[in-house]
Amino acid sequence: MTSHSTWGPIGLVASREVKEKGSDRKFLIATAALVMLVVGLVVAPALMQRDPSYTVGVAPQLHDDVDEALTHLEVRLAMSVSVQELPQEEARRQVIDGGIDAYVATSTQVLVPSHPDDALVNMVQQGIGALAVRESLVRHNVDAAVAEKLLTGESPQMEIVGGRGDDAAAREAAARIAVFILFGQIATYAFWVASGVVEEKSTRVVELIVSAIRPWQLLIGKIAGLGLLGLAQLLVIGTAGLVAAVAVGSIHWDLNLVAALAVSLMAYALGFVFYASLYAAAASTISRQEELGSVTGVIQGMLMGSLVLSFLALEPGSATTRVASWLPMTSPLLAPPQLLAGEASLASVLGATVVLMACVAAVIPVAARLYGHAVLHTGARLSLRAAWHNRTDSVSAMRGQP
Amino acid sequence: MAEIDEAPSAPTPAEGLRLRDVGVRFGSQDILRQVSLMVPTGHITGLVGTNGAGKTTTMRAILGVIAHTDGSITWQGRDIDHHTTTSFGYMPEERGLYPCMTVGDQLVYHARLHGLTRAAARNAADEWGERVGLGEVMHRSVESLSLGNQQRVQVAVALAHKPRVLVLDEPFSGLDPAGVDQLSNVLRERARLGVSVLLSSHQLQLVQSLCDSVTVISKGTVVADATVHELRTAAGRVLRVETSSGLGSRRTAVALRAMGFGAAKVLPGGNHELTMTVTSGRQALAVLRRLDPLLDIQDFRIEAASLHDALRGVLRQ
Repeated sequence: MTSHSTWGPIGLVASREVKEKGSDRKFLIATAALVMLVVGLVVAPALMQRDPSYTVGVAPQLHDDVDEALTHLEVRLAMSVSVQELPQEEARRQVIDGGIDAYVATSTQVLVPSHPDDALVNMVQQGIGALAVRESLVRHNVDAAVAEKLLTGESPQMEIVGGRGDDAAAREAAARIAVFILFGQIATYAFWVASGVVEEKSTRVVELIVSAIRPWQLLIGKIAGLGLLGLAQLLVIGTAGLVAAVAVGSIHWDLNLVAALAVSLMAYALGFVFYASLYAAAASTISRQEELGSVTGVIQGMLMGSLVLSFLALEPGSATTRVASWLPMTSPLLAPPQLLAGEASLASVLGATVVLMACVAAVIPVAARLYGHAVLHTGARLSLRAAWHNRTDSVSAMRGQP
Repeated sequence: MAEIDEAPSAPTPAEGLRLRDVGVRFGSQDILRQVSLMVPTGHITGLVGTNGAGKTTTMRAILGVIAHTDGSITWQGRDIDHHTTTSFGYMPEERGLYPCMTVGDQLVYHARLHGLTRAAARNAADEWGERVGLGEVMHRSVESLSLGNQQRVQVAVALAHKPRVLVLDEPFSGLDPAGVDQLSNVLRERARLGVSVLLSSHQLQLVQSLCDSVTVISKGTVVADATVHELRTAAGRVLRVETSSGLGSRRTAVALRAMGFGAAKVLPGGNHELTMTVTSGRQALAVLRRLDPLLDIQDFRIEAASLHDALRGVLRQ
């Protein structure tokens, strides 16, 4: 025997939800299908672009040397590079606009976009590095030992001048996939919470359960269980996608990516709890699954709006999305892609996360009160006002409050 | 989580479950008004009344599923709270179980919600599944069972955590005769072990044979609260008359009053059978002599009033 703690029943309800939904064959098949879909979306573009081509601008005085060095390397590295002679000011503009991928200004200075392609950077560093060494040798007329030192130590400085670059495109694609996954997880699992609430009402089992535990414990347990199941599925899908992306070289680990992943997980957790609470409160006012669509329409609209905004958020400079990224109903879907695509700073995303946390902390007790008052109500749909004021023949204030 | 001892022991003379002047109001409507009743430890109390009288609301108020707006509900002299009701067993009128869960998982889950450990809940599920005749179907989903077996699952859910108080709303509905006997025996056994049992039922023969006392509720108020014996004694004796003519109970009552038998109460019944409460066998014979010319009496019986007769009299008042 155990004493009846506050958290014990919540854990029991949560584990029941995980067991029931997680062992469902349809769930397992859907998870496998999602993994294959995400891996396919990541791998297919890389497979179709096996021989990448680049355009590199070069200062007129270096054209021949750079052309020779890069032609030598493109065969060795299985890359296609065309060299274009340009004055520096024109070249700077083209790097920013995406007309060229990089510009060799001098043997020690290369202009690149904000997110340059790693393979191109490596190639230019190798090719132009040799030029720099040769120039140094000529200038200093040094002996062989010093020349060797210069050969291994000299490499051109990369100067970021803005623009997006090829890696930004890859990050943007990854961000779009992340948005879809996040939207799918939040929308699906939050809706499952609503569906479960109505199922327990329509099968009448809820009266038996709230005779043993408090309604808010049932609600929190349900949200926790389905949220954890969604998180587990998200981790499986996300890990598969990341491993595939790194394996084909379409994405590279850096601090920005790690931060984006952490923010994505946080956004899922908070976004799910936020929407699941709203869904549960709305669902508790009805008694039949057929009414679920109409009663949750506004919430679904909010989620769909967030999805649309999250794609707009990948375009730089939108004032609407800058505002929306701070709103709790839209920020869960906006923050991760913005960070992943480099369109938002980590500080602003963390700020929006704090706002979302505060909102979730406010929404949970409101949802618990509505749910507690309405969960035993049967018959016609109960208004939120009636549920809030407990004007129903349902559940007691004693048991309805957390 | 407290558990009652399995070993038979004499019930302690404790107060048990008590409702004092309990009222329940929905909006401006009084659903229950000053309901008082008592279910002493080790007793079985029947809660009876017509549909919509307030039986289910009373039970929900006891479990704390709905709020009582007036009065008090106590267990062993202390106001009930969530912790107390967790040790109660409940079978709601509107049966409900998770359709896709297996019987065994269902029993374990509900027992654990009532505070049993995993191992204790598993043992309790096996024990009660077997006792109510579900041993063969423990691994089947509830939705695949017959309605009768689903009802047995509901019974087992109410009993598995070995509650101190059982609140059962129409526990016999849907059970076959064997199931009724089985449940009756279980309830008697629980009462012997010190459990307070409150049950509602429209099957008054069962209430009569099972319950120590009966609370009659009508239109949200208690109209009678006594032992079964007291109610039956108060109802006196019953004269049942079979006639070939259909005078009807209302006209018979008028005729009896006109003959000076105002104390003989005619109970509602069929056209060719009259049932009336009488104060004695002598009065019964006198009534028969006077009615015979009017009704063409075919047969008659004089017997002790059943609970059914007593309640018909109480509710008619």
